[in-house]
Amino acid sequence: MNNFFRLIIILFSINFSIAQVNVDWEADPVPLLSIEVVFPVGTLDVATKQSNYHVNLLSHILRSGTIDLNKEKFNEGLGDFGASLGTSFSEFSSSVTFSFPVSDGENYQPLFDLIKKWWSSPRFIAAESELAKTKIKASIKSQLDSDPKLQLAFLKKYLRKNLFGLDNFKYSQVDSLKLELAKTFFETKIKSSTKAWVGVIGPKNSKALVEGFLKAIFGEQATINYQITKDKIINNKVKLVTDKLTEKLFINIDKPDRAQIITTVAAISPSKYNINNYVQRDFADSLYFSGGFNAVFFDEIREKKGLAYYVQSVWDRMYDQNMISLIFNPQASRIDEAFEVLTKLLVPAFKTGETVKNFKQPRWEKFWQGFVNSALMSDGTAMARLAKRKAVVLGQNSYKNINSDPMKWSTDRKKVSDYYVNIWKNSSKFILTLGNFKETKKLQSKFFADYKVINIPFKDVVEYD
Amino acid sequence: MQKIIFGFLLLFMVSACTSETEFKKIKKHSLIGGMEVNEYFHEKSGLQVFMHPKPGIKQIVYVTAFRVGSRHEEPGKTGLAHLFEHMMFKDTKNFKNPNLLHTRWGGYINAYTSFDLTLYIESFAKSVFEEVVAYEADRMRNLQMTEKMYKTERGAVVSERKRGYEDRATGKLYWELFKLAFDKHPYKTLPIGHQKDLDASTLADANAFYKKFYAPNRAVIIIVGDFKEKQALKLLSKNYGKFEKEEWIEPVIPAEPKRTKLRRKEIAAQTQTVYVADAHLGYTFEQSELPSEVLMCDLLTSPGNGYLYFALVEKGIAKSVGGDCTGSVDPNLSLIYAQGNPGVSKDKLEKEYLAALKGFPAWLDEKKLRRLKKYYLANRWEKLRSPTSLATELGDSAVTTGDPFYSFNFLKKIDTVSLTDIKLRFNSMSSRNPTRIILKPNKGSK
Repeated sequence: MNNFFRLIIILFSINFSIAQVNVDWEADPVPLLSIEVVFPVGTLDVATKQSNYHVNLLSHILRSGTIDLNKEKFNEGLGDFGASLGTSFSEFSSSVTFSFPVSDGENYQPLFDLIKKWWSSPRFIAAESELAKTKIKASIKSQLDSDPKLQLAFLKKYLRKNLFGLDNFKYSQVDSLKLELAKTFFETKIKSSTKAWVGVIGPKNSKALVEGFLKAIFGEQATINYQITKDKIINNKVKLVTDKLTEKLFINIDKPDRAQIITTVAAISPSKYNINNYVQRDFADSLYFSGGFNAVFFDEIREKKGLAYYVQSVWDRMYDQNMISLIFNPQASRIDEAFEVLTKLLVPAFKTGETVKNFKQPRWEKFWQGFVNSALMSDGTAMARLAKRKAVVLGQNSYKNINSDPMKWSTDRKKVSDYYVNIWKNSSKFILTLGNFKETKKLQSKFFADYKVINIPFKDVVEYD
Repeated sequence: MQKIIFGFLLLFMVSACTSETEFKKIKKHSLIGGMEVNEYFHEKSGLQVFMHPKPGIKQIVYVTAFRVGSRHEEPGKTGLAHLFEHMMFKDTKNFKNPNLLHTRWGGYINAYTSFDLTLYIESFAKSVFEEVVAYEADRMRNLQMTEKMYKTERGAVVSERKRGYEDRATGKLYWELFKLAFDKHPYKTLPIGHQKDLDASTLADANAFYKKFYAPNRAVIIIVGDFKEKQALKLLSKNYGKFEKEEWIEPVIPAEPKRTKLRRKEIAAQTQTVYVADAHLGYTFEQSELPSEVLMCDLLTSPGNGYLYFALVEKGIAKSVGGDCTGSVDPNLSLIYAQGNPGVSKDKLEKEYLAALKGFPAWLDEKKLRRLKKYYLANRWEKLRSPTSLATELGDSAVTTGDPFYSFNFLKKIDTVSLTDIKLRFNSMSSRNPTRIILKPNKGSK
C-alpha cells in the first residue's frame, strides 16, 4: 500500500469513526476514580513480523509524554491531580488505565485537556524510541535472571514459531524496531476502534468526571452506553499450522548450579477454548491446580511430600487453543522423587480421567460461589477485568449467570474428565526443565523416554528461534 | 425456696458466663467516604477485634494478625516464625485435613511472615462464615502437629528458600545486605532463616513457638465484608469466648550499635545486570523522622516521578530504581537501589548513582513535594477500597504499631512534612553511614 492511501485510511479512521463505549460501573464510597478502557485490538493486529515488540515500543512511547511535553513535564501535569495513567497490551486487547483522587470543588478540566493532548499527539520522536529500545533490551536480558519467567517465555516462543507459524523476536533485532510501525498501530488500530469496553470503580456522583476522561479519549461524538450490550466474540486471528499435534518434546535450558529445577508440563490441543467448554476448564483447573492447598497436584507434590514450594497452572489457553499447563519448582536434590510423583499423577489426571471421576470432595457445587465472588470483589480491578473478558475472550454470555445464585450452578464430572482427556490424547506435549543437562537428561531417560530431547545452552536462549 | 435460690444462682452463673464470653464495643472509628470500623475487646482473652461490614459483596475477609515475627527468634532458631506460619494450615483438634475444608469454601487462604508480624488472611463466601470462625479459633489454640507434617512442610519451606534466595540474584542481594548491615539485632537474618537452622529445627521447637506466641492477647482479628456485626459477635463469643490471655514478657532485643563508617561489599551471582543497593538505618513507627524519611525515599525513587528515575533510568544508565523506607518496630533498613542496564559496569553504575544523588537537593521543590503527597493520599485511599487490602492494612498496623489506623493517621503527619524536613533527612543519610552491596555477574552468567 503506498503512503497516500495509508494516509487516507488514517485520516478516515481518526476523524470519522464514532466510538461506542460500553461502561460497567462499580459504585464505591472511596473518593478515588479508577477507569480502565479496553480496546479489542492487540499485538496480533500489527501487520508485521515482530509485532509484539513494536507494540512494546509503543507502550514505552505512550509513557513518555506528549509531542511537546517530555515525560517529566507530562507526569508533573498528572501529578498536580495525583493522577496515574498507564497502558498495557496483550495479543488480543489493549488498555488504558487511569486513576485519580476526587475532591469537591476541584476543576479537572486541565487534567482532561492533558489527557486529550496525550492521546492526540503522543511523543513519537526518535530520541524516545532509542531510549525505549534500551529499556526493551534491559527487560529481555532481565528475563534470563528468573528461571520460571525464562522457561515460560521460551515455551511461548517455541509454540508461536512451531505450532502457529508466527515469527519470533530476538534480542539482536531490538535496534531494527521502527517507530513508524508503532505509530501506525496506534493510529489505525487503537484510536480507530469503533467500540471499547470500560470498567469504572468510584463514587456514584462522579459521572461527569468519567465522561470528561472518556471524551478526552474518544472525542465529543462518542456514544457512552451505560447499558451492558451484547456483542459478538472477537474472532481469533491465529490458527494452528497443523491439525495433527503429535510432538513429544523434552526441552532443557542448560543453566548450571541451580538449587531447584523449574519444571513445566504443557499439552496443547487442536480444540478451541470457547463458550461451550470454559466451564469444564475452570472446574478442572480448580481441581488440579488453582483450587487451593487441596488442588490435586499441589496436594500430592507439596502438601504430602514437601517437594516444591509452588505448583500451579500457567496458561489456560494459547491463542484460544485448549491446553494443559503446569509449572513447579522441585528442589534439585529431590528431583528424582518429584518426577516420580509427577508422572504418577499425569496418567489418572489426563490419560484416563480417573482423578476427576473418583474425586470425592464436594467441591463442585461450592466452587463457583468462591470463584465468581472473588473475581467480582477483588482489589479494585474486577470490573475492568470483567470488561476485558467480555470484550475479547468469551463474550457477554460467559457471565450471563453473574446475578443468579452460584450455588445452583453445576457441571458434571464426565464432561470435565472428557475435556482434559481429549486435550491430552490429541495434543503435542512438552516437558521443560531448567538445569544442568547432564542431570536433566537422566530424568528424561527414566521418566519420559519416548520424548525427543532438545537442549538449549543458556548462552543461546535469547537468540533461539 | 431452695429451687428459687438455685434458679437465681443458675441465672447468675449463666449471665456471668455470658458476660465473660462477650466482646465489648470500645469505639466507632470513622474513615473516609462514610466508612466506619467498630472496635471490640474481649477482656478475658485480651483479644481485639475490628469490624467493617460491607453489605452486598457476598464475600467476607477474615484476618488474624499475631504480634510475632522473625524479630522474636532466638539465635540458632532463625526461620522458625515463617516455618511455623506454614504449620498453621495443618490439622486442629476439631478440623482434620483443613485443606479439604478450604477447598469446599471455594475462597482464598494465605499468610505472610515479616520481621515484625505474622498475618493470616481468608476470603470466603458469606455462607460459610460460621464454619470459618470456628476453624480460625481452633487453630489459634488447638493446633495438632505431627512429626511427619512438620518434616514435610519444612521441605516446602526449603523449596521456598531455594527459589527466593539461592537461585534468585536479588534474593542473595537482600540476604547479604541485612547480614552486613546489622551486627546484633535479629533483623540481621531475613524471615526465611538460615538453611542450617531450618534443618536443625524440630517439632518440639514448633510446639514451643506456638505456645509462646499464638495467644489471643497477642492477636488482632479484622473482619471486612458481607456480614452483620451482631452475627459476628455471637460467633466470636461462641468460639473465642473461653480463651484466656497468656502471660507475656517482652524479650530484650539487642539494639544496634551506631554505624561509624560505610560498609561495602561486592557479591557475585548469576545475573545479567549489576545492582547497587544502599541501606541506612531507618526509623521506627514512633519516631518523628519517619514521615519525612518515607517521602524522601519516594521523591528519590518513585517510578516515573522520582529524581533518580530521571537521573538514571531516563538517561539510559539504569533499568530501574527503587526504594523502601517504611517504618518498623525497631530501626530497620531504609533502602535505595539501582539496577544497571545491560552493558553498564558495576563501577559505572556506582559512580553515576553517587554523582546523581548530589543533584537531589537542587531538583527538589515545593510543587514536587505537593504532588508526591497527593500520590501518597491516592495510594492510601486505594487500600481502603479493596476488602482484602483494608483488612490486611488494619491487621498489620494493629500488631506492629498498636494502632490499626496508623497508616491512615500517618497521612496527617505526611501532610505536615516540609521541604526543609526532606532536605534534613537527605543530608542525614551520609551521617547514617550506609551499607552498600554491589551485585555483579559471576562466571556462570551470560
